[in-house]
Amino acid sequence: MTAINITDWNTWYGDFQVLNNINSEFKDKSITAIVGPSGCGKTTLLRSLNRTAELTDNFRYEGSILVYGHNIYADKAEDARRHIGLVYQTPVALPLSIQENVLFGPRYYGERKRDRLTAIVENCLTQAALWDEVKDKLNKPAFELSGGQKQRLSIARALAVNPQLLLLDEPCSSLDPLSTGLIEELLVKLAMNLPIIIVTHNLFQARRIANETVFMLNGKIIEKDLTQTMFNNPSNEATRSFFSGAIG
Amino acid sequence: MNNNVGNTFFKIISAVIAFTCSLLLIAVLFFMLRESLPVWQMTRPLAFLSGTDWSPIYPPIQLGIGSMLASTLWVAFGALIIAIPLALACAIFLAEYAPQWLAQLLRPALTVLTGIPSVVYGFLGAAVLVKFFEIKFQVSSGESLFAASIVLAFMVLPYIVVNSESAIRAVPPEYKLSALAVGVSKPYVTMKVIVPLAKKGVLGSIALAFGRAAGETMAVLMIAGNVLRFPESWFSRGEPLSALIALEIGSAVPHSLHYQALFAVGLVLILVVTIINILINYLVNNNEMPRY
Ligand SMILES: Nc1ncnc2c1ncn2[C@@H]1O[C@H](COP(=O)(O)OP(=O)(O)OP(=O)(O)O)[C@@H](O)[C@H]1O
Ligand SMILES: [Mg+2]
Repeated sequence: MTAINITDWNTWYGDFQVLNNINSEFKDKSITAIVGPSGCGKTTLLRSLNRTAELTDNFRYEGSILVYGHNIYADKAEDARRHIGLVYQTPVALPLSIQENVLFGPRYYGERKRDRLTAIVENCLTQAALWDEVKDKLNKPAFELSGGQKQRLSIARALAVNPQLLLLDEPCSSLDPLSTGLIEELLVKLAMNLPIIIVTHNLFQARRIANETVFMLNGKIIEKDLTQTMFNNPSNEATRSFFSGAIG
Repeated sequence: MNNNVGNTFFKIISAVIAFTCSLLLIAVLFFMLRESLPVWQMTRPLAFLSGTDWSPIYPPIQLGIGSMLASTLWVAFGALIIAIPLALACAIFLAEYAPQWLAQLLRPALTVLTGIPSVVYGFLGAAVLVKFFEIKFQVSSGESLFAASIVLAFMVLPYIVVNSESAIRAVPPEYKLSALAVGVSKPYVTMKVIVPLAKKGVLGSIALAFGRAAGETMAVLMIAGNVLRFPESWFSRGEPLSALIALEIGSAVPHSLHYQALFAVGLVLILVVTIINILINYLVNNNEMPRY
């Protein structure tokens, strides 16, 4: 089944066109990796998908993005964002306790029942593979956590509002191999229930966890296929040279 | 040039400058203390601070600055109570919501406000605010600590706005982006994330504003009423410490007890501002400030 349909998607920052006629589909319950050289528009594509791109003043777009058949640009931006979680590259702990970081969204959406809130905290932290490390200090300030823990906390925060979709922008680029491994493992588990799109500069990471891989270049999607195929037998010359250059 | 030598040279210069600055502060304190020494030998500090009779020239000599100290505190804290909410709202608006053209118009305007001499504020306060109170409330004199607080609030407002706004702007954008990505509204992010992260800078600007408000003389002198009575409320008339010094130093005979007592008043004023600053600093450092 298709989770996301992107049709004729073009975006600009001012006069500068960043994404150029993107047409693509993303599968449900699977991990898709987006790779490509720096500046090719990967972040912009993710930010288009959860409607935070428009927070940049001079951002413009054309085209449509459907999530489970629903045009997300028809909603209020806040509602669209709520259903499409996005975790950024830099690990961010909001200036709140660990627990309140997770409840940041649910409280805004009016969840008041104590047992519901407690359940959300435990459930999301468990899914983000952080529960065991923090269960005894839920009320401690979150900024005391390590970078890897903060990143998992960001994932828990995104999960707490029940997203239909999880996007991650180079989530492991500032983390050590151990934290990276933890996050990859939890993403694979999460992908049993919801579609995940991850931008990564680490091709090995794409190969380890992604069912499909997208290769972008200069604001265009050049090729998209099963990860296996992309690595072993890409049909496009640019893809081939990117993968071989980066690997060998 | 050898880099190491340059480094050492730079360090020495910095140390000398830092030392000179601290020395200057200590010298001022020392001078004030020396000039006022006979006062401290004559009265206990606590009696000096809490006494409400001020008669430094004609016997029986009474040296109590309680009324003036209370006036200073009323005026300065009152100014902060008025200024802080307004200034914070203004700073948040400028940093987060104002369209660029408006912010570019308002920022220089605020800077200009800080440059207006205090005598002009005092004059405007006396001509407009005090008159307004007289007409509105049918009183013979509209001067009060409250009126002085209002005028002072406008004087310190630009300081709080400008410094708080830069503190808010200094919050790295990742915080806002990550918080907004959950699908919450911008005001929610502002109040729960951005302002707490900017708290350090905001409190710093408030400390600065308190110092200015407590030390401000000219405007206060023209508006507060200048009576040497204990101010029962914010709406009483009173004479803050700074006004007391300004009004009496001209007529005080050098090295008389009166003269020395005024130095003691100055010393108290410095200490009050310093203590408040230390308290705010303590608040800043002990509040488990989030790092970024
Ligand atoms: N806010 C902005 N205003 C103007 N141009 C921008 C803005 N954000 C990104 N761009 C430009 O858009 C292009 C794509 O940026 P984007 O961040 O999407 O690239 P990316 O593929 O994520 O790169 P990286 O791998 O380095 O993260 C770049 O040329 C960048 O300079
Ligand atoms: Mg990027």
